[in-house]
Amino acid sequence: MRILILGDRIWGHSAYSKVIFNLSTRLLKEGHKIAHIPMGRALRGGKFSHSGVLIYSSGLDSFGQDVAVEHYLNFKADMIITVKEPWVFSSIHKEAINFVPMAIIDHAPVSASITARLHTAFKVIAVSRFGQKELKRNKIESTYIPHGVSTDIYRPLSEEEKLACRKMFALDPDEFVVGIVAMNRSRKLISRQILGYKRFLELNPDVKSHLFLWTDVQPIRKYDEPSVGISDVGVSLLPEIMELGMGEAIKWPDRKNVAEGIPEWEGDNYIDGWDMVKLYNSFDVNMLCTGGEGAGLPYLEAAACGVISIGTNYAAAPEYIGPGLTVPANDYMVLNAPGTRYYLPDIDGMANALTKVMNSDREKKAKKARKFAERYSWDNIVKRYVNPFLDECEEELFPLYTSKGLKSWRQQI
Amino acid sequence: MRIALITPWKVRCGIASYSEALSKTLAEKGVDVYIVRLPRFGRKIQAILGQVVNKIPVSEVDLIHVQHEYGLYNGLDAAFYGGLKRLGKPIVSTMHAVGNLAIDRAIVDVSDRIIVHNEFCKKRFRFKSEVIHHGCKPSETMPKKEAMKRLSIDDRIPLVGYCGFISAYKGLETLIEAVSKIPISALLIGGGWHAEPGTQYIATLNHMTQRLIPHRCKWLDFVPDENLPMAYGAMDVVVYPSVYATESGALLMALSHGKAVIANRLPPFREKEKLGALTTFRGVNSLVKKIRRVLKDEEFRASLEKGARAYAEANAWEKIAEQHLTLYNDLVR
Repeated sequence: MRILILGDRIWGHSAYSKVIFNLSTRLLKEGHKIAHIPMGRALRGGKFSHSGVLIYSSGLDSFGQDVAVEHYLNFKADMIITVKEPWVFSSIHKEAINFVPMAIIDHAPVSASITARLHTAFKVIAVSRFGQKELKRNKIESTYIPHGVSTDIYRPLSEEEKLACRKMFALDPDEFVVGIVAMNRSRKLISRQILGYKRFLELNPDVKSHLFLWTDVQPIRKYDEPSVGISDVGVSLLPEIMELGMGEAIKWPDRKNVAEGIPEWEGDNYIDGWDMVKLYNSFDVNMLCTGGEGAGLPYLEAAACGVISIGTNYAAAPEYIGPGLTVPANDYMVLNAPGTRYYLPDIDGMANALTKVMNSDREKKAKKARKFAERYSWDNIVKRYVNPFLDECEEELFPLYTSKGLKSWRQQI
Repeated sequence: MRIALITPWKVRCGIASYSEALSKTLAEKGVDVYIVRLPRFGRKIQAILGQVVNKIPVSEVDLIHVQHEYGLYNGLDAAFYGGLKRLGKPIVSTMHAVGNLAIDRAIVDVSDRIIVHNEFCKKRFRFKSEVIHHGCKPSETMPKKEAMKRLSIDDRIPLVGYCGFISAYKGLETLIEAVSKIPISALLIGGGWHAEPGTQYIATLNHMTQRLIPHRCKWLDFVPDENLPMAYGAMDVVVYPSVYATESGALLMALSHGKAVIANRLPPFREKEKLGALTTFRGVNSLVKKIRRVLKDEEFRASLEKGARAYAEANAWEKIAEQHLTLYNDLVR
């Protein structure tokens, strides 16, 4: 199968970049030919190869739609898989190509801005059962292929290494570290999560703790910069942190470290080798109580490192959180351009969940978390979900009817 | 015999359903059918159609059979056929619509054989062609009582129905108006959008049913194949009010389920009326009269149902596939 993947740049550090990298490199090993169009005008030069994946230029459109058909034809692609919320597209779903969107759905009821772009798709991939159910409600058939995690990279480190991680990130070895790994987006409700953490401190005044906020505390875009997409803008968190008197209780990194992201694994360098594995290994709990998650890769990454998470009981979070804890959310707000519902995690609920984690047998929980993450290892995802899906596509794209039944004629040739 | 069949595939499209039924039956007769998928939706450019041509497994097949309808080729028909010609294989084209002289000529120039579905199309096509009827799949329906129960409709209500894609040329407003004049009856509309999702036309029809026949119309949306016996089982009479048609797969599906069918008096449907397969109407008042008669006159309804079954048997896919096979053999001999 010749597959063209459109999404965040494969060499980047965003969740979608990781999805694309992991899928592409594994599908190459399965014998498929893979090409990629990096979004966000990430490649203005010519074609090149990255880990065996052919990278095409990005074009001028932020979402690569202006070059998609041209590259699709040049690559002789059998299908184009898009790894992005479908509502960002204005034209690609109107092209006569085999469009296979990953329908990343972080809200219910699912927005018409998403479903309207799926009706003419060749296949639709749902990355969560929650999303699949929402699509089904709108009479859109989909194939469930969850996001995965590289369990060979994300893994629990030894106690000694964990202490070294904490030292590297300037965290005390004996404190209870709550981590938040999230992009600064209004949907992530970081200010509300801070309120939840503040309440936790109020309920547990004797606890030595820090919130390690792995995000850019300033909005990425300037105030006068026109935005594209769905107005899920970043917010300035510093005034709120200071207003709440949480300046001491929260630690955050320098902007440049989070703007471009840090590598997944930098090797055994515990002096200045900041990476995601060491970051998660320095946490006691991963907190991601957002307004809604289409998947929530940090839940899986933390679990693979033996760290359990707490998340909002809404959208895909409960599926991806595994042995972690969900926080009730009864109220919602509408804060993006398409007008979808994002639920507000209960503040006391977050505090209680953090307390529960703090008082639990974290070693036992770590084992459970790791076991859960292994189910989502990319190798397993490809074997269990992606390969059968591509076999089905092959048969549907190149059907051969004979007296013996239906099969793919291309595989026969 | 090995053929490449160029067609839309596994999409909501009458031609895709046609091709699937034909391919299955041809395969049962020993023909290997290599499906070459043609995009059904979206903006088509020459390069995309060129990619379709390039995918044809030329060395594997004896001939190429194209399922043609103007909308599928976006005015690029001549260029597409030019690409096919270069492959040097015999070409058969089935014209699902006819009448665009320039395009028809371009297709005739390249095709070795042309298939049309009925005498009306043959006459309108103006070039040499052969009639091979659209196939039917004789099928049973669900018992009326059970079907009505599943649809949550009182089984004492006489039910008028429509089942098929919904587009402006399907003339459903005539049907809604007619049913509004028969207060004892109700209307069951099964069918989703055709070329455009959630068309304005469907919204207009919905509004019309709410205004003219409130609480007397049920919309089923797109009816998957497995639910057709239920939908047809519930209907006492099926109406096809299309304002234009060269053939109708949906109408043939109703005949295949042995239903009493009333269709607009269009040439392709008149041909079937002459064979006793259905009855036709002209204008709303005529339709009202015909519906009333079918609902009241059991003998008339039974004769239409019998005629429908006879038509479906005479044009069962097996016979249609046999005719295709004869044509293929003539061509590659």
